[in-house]
Amino acid sequence: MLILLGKALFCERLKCKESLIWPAFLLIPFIPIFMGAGNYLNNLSILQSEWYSYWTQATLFYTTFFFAPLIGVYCAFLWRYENFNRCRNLLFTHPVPYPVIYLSKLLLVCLLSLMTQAWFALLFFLSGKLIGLEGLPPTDICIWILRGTLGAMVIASLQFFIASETASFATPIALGLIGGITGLLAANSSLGIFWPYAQMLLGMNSNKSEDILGQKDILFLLLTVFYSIGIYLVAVHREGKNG
Amino acid sequence: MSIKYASLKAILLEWKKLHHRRLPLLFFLALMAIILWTVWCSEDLNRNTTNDPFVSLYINLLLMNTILIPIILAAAASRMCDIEQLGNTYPWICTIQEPKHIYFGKAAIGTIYLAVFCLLQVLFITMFMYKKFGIIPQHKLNLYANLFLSSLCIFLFQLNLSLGSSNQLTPVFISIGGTFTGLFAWFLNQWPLRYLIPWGYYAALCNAGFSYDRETRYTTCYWNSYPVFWLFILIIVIIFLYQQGCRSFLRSIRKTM
Repeated sequence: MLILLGKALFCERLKCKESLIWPAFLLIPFIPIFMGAGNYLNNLSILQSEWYSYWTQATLFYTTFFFAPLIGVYCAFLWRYENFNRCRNLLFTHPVPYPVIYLSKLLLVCLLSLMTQAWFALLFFLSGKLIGLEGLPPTDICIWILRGTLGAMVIASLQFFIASETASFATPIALGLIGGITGLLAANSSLGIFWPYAQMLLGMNSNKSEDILGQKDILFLLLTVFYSIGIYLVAVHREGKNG
Repeated sequence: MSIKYASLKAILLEWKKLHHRRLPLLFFLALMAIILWTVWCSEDLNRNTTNDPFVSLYINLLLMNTILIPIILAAAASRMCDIEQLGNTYPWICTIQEPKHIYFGKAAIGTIYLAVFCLLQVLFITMFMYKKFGIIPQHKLNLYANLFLSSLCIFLFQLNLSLGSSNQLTPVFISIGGTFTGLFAWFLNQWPLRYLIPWGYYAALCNAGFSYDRETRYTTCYWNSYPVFWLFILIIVIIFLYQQGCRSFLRSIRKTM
């Protein structure tokens, strides 16, 4: 099974070669960094906690408006080839079980999400230095990035499920944007931790300089694992039912 | 066949093509997100924090449209075009229907969706203001004109892009980039950016503003005169986009025939 998964993953990776996914991956995270840095520099009189203050500005735009649509682009792209010329039917006639095909694509999306997070973290650090912040970012921020990555996996699973169910390229991206906004609203309520789109926001401690999750780290971890596996199982079950 | 009949037929045909494409659901979800956002924004609003809560919500509504609607419209335009592009059906559709009518049908359906969608937003804000603050808002027509015309301009732009490119990635990327340039345009009011891009017209046609006093935490809102000049410019751009889009669609169809 592992060999099959490795081969499927290799094939999926080939499909992404020299595609437009890479310009999106490289360029889109620049926008929240520019916006965050601009906002930070314009409000220096209020934002006085250096790296923490800059974090509040950079992550607000990134987690709310950019991340989910960007992941939506990755997911829609991975299903795009299968939607052309009934490639989906052809794909399913291959001697590879559907759960493996789905998992290979999903793993690639998760890998891309991980790389996006790492790229954003690097940009955050470099831009912080450029705007004159001293020293290194505090450990808290590193933990928030790692925690946000777990939340990002939930969004990636959900967006991937939406993309697999929708034969259109742009719809999952639009739904990702709507999801991001509902995440912002949910994150401000007491039950926000249960809303998949709010988990990355909460994990990254977006727009906050004090830890919003507090003692709920374990619950957060359990929920992210539960949602990621749950969405995968629902997706595989649905496809099995639809044939 | 009279022009009126042909136009009506084009709209009906396009309507049938979009059956089960769940476009209304996309607009409905966007409307729900806008409503939730407005309700959330209104929680802290009262007469002790601002002199006119409506201005605050008016600006927020336009801001939300700047962030949400361009990508929704890119998705809608892409969905309207991909049915023919996936099946490569233009050559034979054009043997039974004039290409300019196909373009007209798509543009008209988008216009109808937008007209209803913007009307629902204005109705919602009117009822919400009356229920929550007991105010019957002014400038409703201005708000409607702003929402409808700015969105229509973006829609036609996206429709032309989607019809012109077989790869739907490009229009969507342009839309994401445009959305955030539009968002920048709100904050960079000292630059003419908002007048130069279609995504900036939500900000360009906004006839309200506010000043915030940090010490008293009080927001003083005010109305400006409506930027009629820029409204006319936008209408001219819409007409230009329609004609240009129709022309380039005819050109691309001729190549495939």
